[in-house]
Amino acid sequence: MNAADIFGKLRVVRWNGFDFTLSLIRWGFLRRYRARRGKITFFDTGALFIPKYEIAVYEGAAPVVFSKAPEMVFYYPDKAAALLRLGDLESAIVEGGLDGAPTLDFIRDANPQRQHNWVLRVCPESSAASRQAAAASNEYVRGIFAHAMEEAKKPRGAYRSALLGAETRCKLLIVIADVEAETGVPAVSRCLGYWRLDGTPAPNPCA
Amino acid sequence: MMEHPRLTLVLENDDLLRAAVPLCFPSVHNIREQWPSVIAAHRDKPNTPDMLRQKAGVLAMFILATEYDVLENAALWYRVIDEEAFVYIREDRDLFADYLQDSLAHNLALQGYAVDEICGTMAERSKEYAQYRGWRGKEQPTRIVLSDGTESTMDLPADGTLLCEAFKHFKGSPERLNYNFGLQFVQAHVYELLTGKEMPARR
Repeated sequence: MNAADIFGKLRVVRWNGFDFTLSLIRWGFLRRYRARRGKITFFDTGALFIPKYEIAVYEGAAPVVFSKAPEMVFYYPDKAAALLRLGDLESAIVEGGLDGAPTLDFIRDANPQRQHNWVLRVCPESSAASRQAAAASNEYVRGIFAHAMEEAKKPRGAYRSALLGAETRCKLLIVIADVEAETGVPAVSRCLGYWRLDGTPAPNPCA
Repeated sequence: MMEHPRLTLVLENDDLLRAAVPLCFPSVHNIREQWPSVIAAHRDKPNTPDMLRQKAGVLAMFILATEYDVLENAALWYRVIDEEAFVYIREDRDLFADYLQDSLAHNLALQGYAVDEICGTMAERSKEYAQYRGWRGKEQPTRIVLSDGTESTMDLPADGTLLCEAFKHFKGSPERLNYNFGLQFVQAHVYELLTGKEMPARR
């Protein structure tokens, strides 16, 4: 697993003076976990494939991915499909924005075996037909979502649980290594009182 | 366990990784110290699926808060708790045992055990331990040599019982394991956690 797999790709495209950010990430444990807490949208089961990659479309420049909910989210079974569709989506948005015909075609023409759509955006200026299509799509997806939420409560089995734990540990250790490189002291200690409140190291009572 | 303030800051907005820190680096002392309040927090609450999942999660954390043979200990505990769940919450036993297995596997992996090692050991021990009906049987006074070289006598589980056979997979001496497991089991208040009720004076 390389850094791009973990942290994903960001593309900012411009249409009619507006910025849109496309974020491609690996749809892993983090998103699933947050989804269970109701923080972001989620397909886990009930889909025609197991979602492994996600493209989320945000209105605004890149930093919005940390602060705003996406306008649309698409899920893919593999990286190749996600990368291919990332290019298609980028062109569609550049051509007509989020409510333009190319983007609607992008949604409509998707192969359900290769792409799952989650359209959160219902633009008041968009046509009745496109609003209806978006509403129907959302209703369908809500059904899947509700089903997925129920499924997520079921036991996963030891193997999947262990994989999830291993993946989380891997990510946590990366963060810990970064913190240790930055501060020059261990980030986690079993000994109480190892750091002062201001973050400067104190004498280690276990040493 | 103590974490550097910089780490706390970095993980501030990451619920998942923040929650994983105490599971990756468990503090035996803290978990055992806080356990009575955990038991109290689950008292008088009906065993809904969400509650069972929550109870399994905290119990897994308690089980893994040990400093000896963590993986073998988890496999032994899983067998013991499965039986306790059968006795105390029979209708919910299957679901609870599944959640417990999930939580144990997840937390063991967080502690750095390999996925295959976890699944292999849990599967093998589950199969093996299923055949033992009694936990301890009639305890046998056994002569042991203490660390200071003196001899003493201690009651240990009888041959062919779950604990006696399980301890063969552990690295430590049987008397230490017997003591550690017994102590941890008494501290766990399994009946209270599973049922949400106080332990009757005699049952």
